[in-house]
Amino acid sequence: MLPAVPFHVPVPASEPVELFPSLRGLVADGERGDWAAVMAHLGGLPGLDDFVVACSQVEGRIADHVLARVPVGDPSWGVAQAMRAARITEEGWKIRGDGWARTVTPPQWAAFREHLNRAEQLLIDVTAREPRLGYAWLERMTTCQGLSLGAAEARRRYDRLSAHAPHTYIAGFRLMQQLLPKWSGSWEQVSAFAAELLRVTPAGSIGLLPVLVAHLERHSAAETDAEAAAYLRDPAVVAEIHLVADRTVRHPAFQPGYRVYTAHDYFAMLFSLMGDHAAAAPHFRALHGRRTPFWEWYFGDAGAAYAGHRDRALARG
Amino acid sequence: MLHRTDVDGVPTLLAPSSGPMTAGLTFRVGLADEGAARIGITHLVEHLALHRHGVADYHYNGATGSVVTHFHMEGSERDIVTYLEMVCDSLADLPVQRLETEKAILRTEAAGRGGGVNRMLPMWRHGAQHYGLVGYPEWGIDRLGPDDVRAWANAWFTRANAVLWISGDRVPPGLRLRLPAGTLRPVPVASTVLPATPAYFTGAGGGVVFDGVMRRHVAGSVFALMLERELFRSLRQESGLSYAASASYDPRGDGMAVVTAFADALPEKQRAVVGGFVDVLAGFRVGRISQTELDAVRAKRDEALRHPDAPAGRLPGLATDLLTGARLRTLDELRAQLYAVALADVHGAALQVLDSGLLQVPPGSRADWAGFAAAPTTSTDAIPGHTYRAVDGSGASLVLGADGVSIVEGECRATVRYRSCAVMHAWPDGARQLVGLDGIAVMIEPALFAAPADTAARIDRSVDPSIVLPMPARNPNDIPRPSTAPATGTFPPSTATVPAPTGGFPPATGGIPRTITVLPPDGSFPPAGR
Repeated sequence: MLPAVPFHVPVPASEPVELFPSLRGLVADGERGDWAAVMAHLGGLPGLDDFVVACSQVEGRIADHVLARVPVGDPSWGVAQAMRAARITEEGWKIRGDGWARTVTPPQWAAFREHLNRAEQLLIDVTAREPRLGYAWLERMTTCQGLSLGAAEARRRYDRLSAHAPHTYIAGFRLMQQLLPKWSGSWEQVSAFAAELLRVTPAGSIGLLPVLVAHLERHSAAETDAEAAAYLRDPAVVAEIHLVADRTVRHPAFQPGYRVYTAHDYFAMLFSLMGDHAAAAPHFRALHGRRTPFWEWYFGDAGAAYAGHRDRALARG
Repeated sequence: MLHRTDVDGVPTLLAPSSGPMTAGLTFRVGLADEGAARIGITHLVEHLALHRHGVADYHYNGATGSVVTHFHMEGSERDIVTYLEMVCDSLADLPVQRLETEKAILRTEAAGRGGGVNRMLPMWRHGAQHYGLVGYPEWGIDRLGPDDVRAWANAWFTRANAVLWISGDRVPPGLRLRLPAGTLRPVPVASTVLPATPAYFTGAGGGVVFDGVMRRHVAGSVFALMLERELFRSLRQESGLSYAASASYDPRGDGMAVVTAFADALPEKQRAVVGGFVDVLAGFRVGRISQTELDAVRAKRDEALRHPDAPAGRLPGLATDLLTGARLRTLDELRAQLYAVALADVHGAALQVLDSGLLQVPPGSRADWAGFAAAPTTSTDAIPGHTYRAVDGSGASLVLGADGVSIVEGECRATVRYRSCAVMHAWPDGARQLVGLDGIAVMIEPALFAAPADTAARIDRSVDPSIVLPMPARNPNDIPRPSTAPATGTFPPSTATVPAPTGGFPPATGGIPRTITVLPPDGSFPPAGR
């Protein structure tokens, strides 16, 4: 049975720690400064995607001196340094703000760049010592974007990550972002990368989801509402979105881990935007009335948009 | 194996060889000794010395380096005697009637040469002086007259400043080296214009180039081989970003050695090559080097040292060592040192090289994000003096002081002090370009500033005449005038070498210099009319 949710009451975003009880223990360990317990939790995770979600929940909560005192040579040194870098990057983005480049003041740029340089130099050391640490390469994809090092360098970092952690959703997501026209890429690069993911990603892998980013971005970049709607009614686009669903959320081998809400968010959102509320319904049901912050990327009033689409889907589906 | 003797007072090295006899005469003089206003004089002397031997071919030649100049020949004992005696006789009495012809040949040679990939690093590290001069055009030759080249030959191409080397059992009978007496000349003392290292600058496209300096040690040659292998493995085999990757270890002559590395890049992959290159260097910095790799390059190096031609092949290098005061090492000593190199030694060499490193990145790139300081592209201050505004109202100004000149535009300053001016190009229309020992250049187009009519004359009075290079008249259309200058073009068309701001970033606080020519990205100094 669905929980009773009043009609169109905006639904707030949930962080992973609110969605997964196991992460609450990790966060508590982190806040207590129990690095060994944090690493024990992280070490039990099955893949880089889960690892990164878990890290994102503790990066900002572990005191810096706890991370800084992990000695070089300790097996957890690389993770500790990458967490420090992630936090410095985050601080940098807070200074910059998330507005368009033209809205950022020169002192903001300078401080932003100084933070990202510092994070990047920590990460250069980490990947030099531990070239297999996907988490560090992922953070280097983030600094790459902020430092405007370009698509070729982003791709190199993605390749280094993928060499040891292939088909990682969040890496594909980052690279897709980098290839967007707004980050000095192009739609041709976006389409080529989506086609590559369709070609190389095994069925059941969460690594295929970034293909959906390409469609969401094309949709939101449309000049008019009519153009946006027409894009998502294009039979080839519709077929591709269903193909991705068949190979991910509808596939028996699909193991989304901590990304389960993300996966259903994508399809709930896309099918709703396509006007296919029946197709969206199972995904809203799978979300159990929760959503991730992802909706805020595409909707001004994300909570209300989510509620509206959900209610339409569940009324019909 | 190695025998030492002397021929007419010239120290001589003999080493056995299985092949045909090769002999050479090496002098302790090169580009680093010339001074910016005389660049090319050693090369010109080398050409004049070889002129009597006819057209250069595969079997004999000369080569002008940074601190030594070689003349060498392969052939019979008789051919070698003829060649070396001709070289010495020509050096002692240069065929100066050939001067203009050889200058023309040098200009043609320069036009076809283009320079190696690492050509720009020395000028960014050392400026327009000593070891930095190898990057500059041979702009000194135009002004040189018969007396200049004769004086140069007499001062540097002397018995005491030469070493003869021969691959073979004996000195060819009858060989006489009729060279003037002289003294063994010390190598120049190096200095750097980089306030902080590791540093970077934005250079020409096509790839990434790096160099760094270390105390001369066999571990450096091992490091260079390992660096080359790792660049190749990472950038070509693993990432497919580069086709060519190389590294070399070269003693500088002053007890130090330079490790240089290069990786090429496709245009669309240039920035990824910067990233990959930085990561390869970082791997060495953190000491991620394996004994297996060390063993592999050691075996390769050892194989080269065991080659039957190795004793003869080392002779030019040994001649250089003898001339620069380095201790001569036998092959056995060298191999023993090679086998004594441990991982810690390679790491130590890598740290020296990386700490002193200079990285050249392609246009549109920078490397501050990787911890490399931007190499200076402008001066830290302007000269005190009288300021003249640009007549086009751009806000730029020319400062004429008692001690030097500056061009100032916003926060950007280019200053050359007369006492540290390396060279000045002087055009008949009054334009002057002064290049400081630090490599910073100031181009003065008097027509663009509300400056006194005698500006050029006043500058000329302050500059040592021996470093003034008169330039041919420019085409009137090429002379910048306020009315024809572009909006920001107070100065000649920019050959800006400064790091371009990358996408999404505004210029750094304080402004990025755009129009002040500092160092030529492509060797196109001076910027106008030759």
